[in-house]
Amino acid sequence: MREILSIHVGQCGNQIGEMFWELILREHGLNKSGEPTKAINPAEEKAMNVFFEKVNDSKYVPRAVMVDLEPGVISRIEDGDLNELFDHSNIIKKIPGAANNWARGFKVEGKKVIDQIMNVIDSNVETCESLQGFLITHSIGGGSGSGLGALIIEHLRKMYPDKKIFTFSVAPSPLISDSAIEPYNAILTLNKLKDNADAVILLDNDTLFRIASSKLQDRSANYMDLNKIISLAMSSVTASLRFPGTLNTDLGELLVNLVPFPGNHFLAVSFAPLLGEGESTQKPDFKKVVQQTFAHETFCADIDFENGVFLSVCALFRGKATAKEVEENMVEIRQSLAFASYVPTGVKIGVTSIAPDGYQITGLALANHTGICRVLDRLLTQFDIMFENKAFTHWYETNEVSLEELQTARDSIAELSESYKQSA
Amino acid sequence: MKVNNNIIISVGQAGVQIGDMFWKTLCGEHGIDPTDGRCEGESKPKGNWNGFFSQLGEGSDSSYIPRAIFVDLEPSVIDAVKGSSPGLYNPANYISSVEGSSSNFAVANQGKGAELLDDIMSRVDAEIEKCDLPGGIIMIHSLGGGTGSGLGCLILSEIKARHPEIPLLSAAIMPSAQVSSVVTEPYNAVFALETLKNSCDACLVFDNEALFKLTQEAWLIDNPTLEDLNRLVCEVLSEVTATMRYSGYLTVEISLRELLTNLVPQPDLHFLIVSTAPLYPPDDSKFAEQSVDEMTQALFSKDYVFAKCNPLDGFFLSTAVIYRGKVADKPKADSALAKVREQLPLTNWIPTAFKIGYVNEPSLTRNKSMVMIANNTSVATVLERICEKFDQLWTRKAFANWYLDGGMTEEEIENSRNFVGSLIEAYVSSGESGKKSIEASSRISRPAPRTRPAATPPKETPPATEASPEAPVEAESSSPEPEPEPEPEPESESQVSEEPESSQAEDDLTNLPDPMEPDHNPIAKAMQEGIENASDSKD
Repeated sequence: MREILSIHVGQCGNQIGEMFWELILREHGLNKSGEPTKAINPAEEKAMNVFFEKVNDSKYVPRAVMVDLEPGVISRIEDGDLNELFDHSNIIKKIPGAANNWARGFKVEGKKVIDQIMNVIDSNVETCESLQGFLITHSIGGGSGSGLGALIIEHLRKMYPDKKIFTFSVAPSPLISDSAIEPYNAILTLNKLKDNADAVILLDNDTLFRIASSKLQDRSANYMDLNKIISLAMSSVTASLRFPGTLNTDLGELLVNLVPFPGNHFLAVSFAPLLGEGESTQKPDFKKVVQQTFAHETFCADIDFENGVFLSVCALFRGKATAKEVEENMVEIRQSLAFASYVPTGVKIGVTSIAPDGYQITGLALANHTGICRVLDRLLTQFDIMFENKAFTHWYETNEVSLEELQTARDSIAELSESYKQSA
Repeated sequence: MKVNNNIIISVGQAGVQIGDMFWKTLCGEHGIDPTDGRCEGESKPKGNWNGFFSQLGEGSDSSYIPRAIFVDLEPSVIDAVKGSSPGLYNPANYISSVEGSSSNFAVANQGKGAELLDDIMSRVDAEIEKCDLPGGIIMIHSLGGGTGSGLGCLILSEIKARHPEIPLLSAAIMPSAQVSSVVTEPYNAVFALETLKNSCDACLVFDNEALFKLTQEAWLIDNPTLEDLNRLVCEVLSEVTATMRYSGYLTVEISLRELLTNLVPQPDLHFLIVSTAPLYPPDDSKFAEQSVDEMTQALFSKDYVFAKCNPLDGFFLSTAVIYRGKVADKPKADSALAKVREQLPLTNWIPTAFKIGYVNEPSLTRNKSMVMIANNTSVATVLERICEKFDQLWTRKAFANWYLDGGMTEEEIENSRNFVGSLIEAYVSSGESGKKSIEASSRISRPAPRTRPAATPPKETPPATEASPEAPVEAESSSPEPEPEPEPEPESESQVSEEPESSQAEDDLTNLPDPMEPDHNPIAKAMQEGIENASDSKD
């Protein structure tokens, strides 16, 4: 099976990466050092090869590269439980940080480290028989994940034009925020993602915060709660790539189904059911799971359901569900969804028999919905308010990003948002 | 852990005294012996000591040298530092001459001081050379005397010219009439402010009057000495630099560059106020604690700010808060801040949130503490007060001869004054533009003259602006029809709304208005706007 190389960039990207690997280690019956705790049959092993490289016949090493301009999070990972898991030559931690500034991540500091990063990526690609693509996790609001992340993606596109680039990109929100200049960073990154990525799963801190808080009793959500949801979604999106015998075994196939027009590749994801704090088991109720999966409030981005339409959607279920059950339940859902007039109302469906740890049956929808423009518009509004007053722009100008570049990125994303509205 | 390295340059008597005290505080926090720079036994200093100290020697022989430079134009204060800690600082980094600056900016800036500049810069360059990653240069100085202001500014502009990429922060003690030892303070301060605006990336504004009040009211010292005031400044500087010296939960450091990126929305708007909580008398502070909610509330009240202004009368352009203490309190601190944020007057043109830093390691005197660094438009009132005093002296050219003899021209002096005037204006209009956006977007208008009362000058204004003090009184009695003003209203209106930023300030430079003309006087003008707004909101 064709390999996927994961690249985790920046504080947020690496935290999500850590949680993701921890989660899928359990799913594949590996301990925290990547050693199997149970017998692995050949079919499983073949599927695992997509995300893991087997070394010395005894250990599975994640195909993962971790990069940050601020060593904090990666150092914690290195000092933590997963210390034995990763290939340490794949860990690139640098100083002195990007100072929350895209321009420093993309230009000033980025250009000092990009060659080294690309060398590490190249040598990882060489261990693959036939790489299908890259999976990138990052936030688009900070400096490292956004700026350096965009730089890496731009280089990947140049060096590997025929490989797929999938990103999990976390959009900032004033609700749970780390920096004043997030809107600029986000728009600049989105512009690069629009040009260079094949699919962007856009996660929205605003919405994630709401979803996470709804599951909590007596405290407000923090980054950990948000990242947990993201890692669950990631594990489900990739499940059909990691386990044998299901549909969608290739990133390319997913893309063909999800992206009707080039450029309109910003996807929203939902995951259901989400267990609350303290809940450890789930009562299997497939009908309910299906309904929740397609409910507006389950989507991890603030998409405009009322005014938008689905361009395409993939439903990926995990757990014991028969084809009949799936078919019966989806008929109803299909009819309830608003599709663009020019696309057939087909929903691509995948089922993987292994549910995430602690769950019986789960659902995930990966949607190309025109209402995603609401997320873009929110960022654009914040961008505009600040840009009109030239707030914080000097930090970009003094770090090699001109006002024109900001303006161009802004216009490009405004155009993207418009194109979504048009396709509705 | 490798981190950004920061250099501290202390200039003038106050600067050197505070600097020395600050370094001793850092020694205490990091476990370094303040007399010889050694660390007990084989152990390394605590935290990211590398941020402010360099290491000399290896293993048990090593000592840790502050990245410090001390500069003064007279030797006694530096000699005292040398005597009290003979083995701590690099002796090459003491630079002094013998004659003093006679409290005169011009002498320190152009005469005696300039002669020392080459020596000083070679030490600055040497310290930068020693850094793996030069992450910031901080200058501690007071603006009232001659050396801290004159020589300090000379050094600042030289550093900016040679190393524009290194963030440059000034921690400046502003003079105040109540705690004054020098008559010419307003001159020195105004001249210095021009450089602080042009050459620094940011400036922390301390104000002797506020420090005096804080030591009396919070520290319960009836007759505070300069040492008490200095200790208070050290306390807050240690908090401000905490994220550069200790790792937080998820970050190794929040560098000076990162802090400034979040705090300075436009190059000129970089005068920051600070506050810290709790403030208990030093002996009690280890035992008396405030809850996270109380601390958070206190941070934003005028009674805790280290400059004499009320942040709630102005607008918050940007804010950073650093919390030090138990990790379990972080969620509490986050939600307390979120709550407080809703009640704060925020500008509308910066829609984003606070920068929040977190450090696990408590300070020496407090188990948990918070510091706020804010870019708040009320800082203009501090600058205005200095300008008023300046104007009083300058209209009669009182003491001006000392400066003219020192090599400054009348034109230079007036330029400096206008520079500060345009800075005040930039702050005022940055608050106004926030308010305008609020009114335009929601129609839920705040009471219009909200920022204005803070800017109202006290009764004793210079004779030339006599017309203005009456204006706000009329405005407050709020006659519904707008007052006919000497300047046509639409013009000033459009100036404010179209050009809220610094470009206007630069225009003003080429087109120097007479500072004494009420029409061009920023205070008077600002007040006219206050009137307009008042009448606007009535309509």
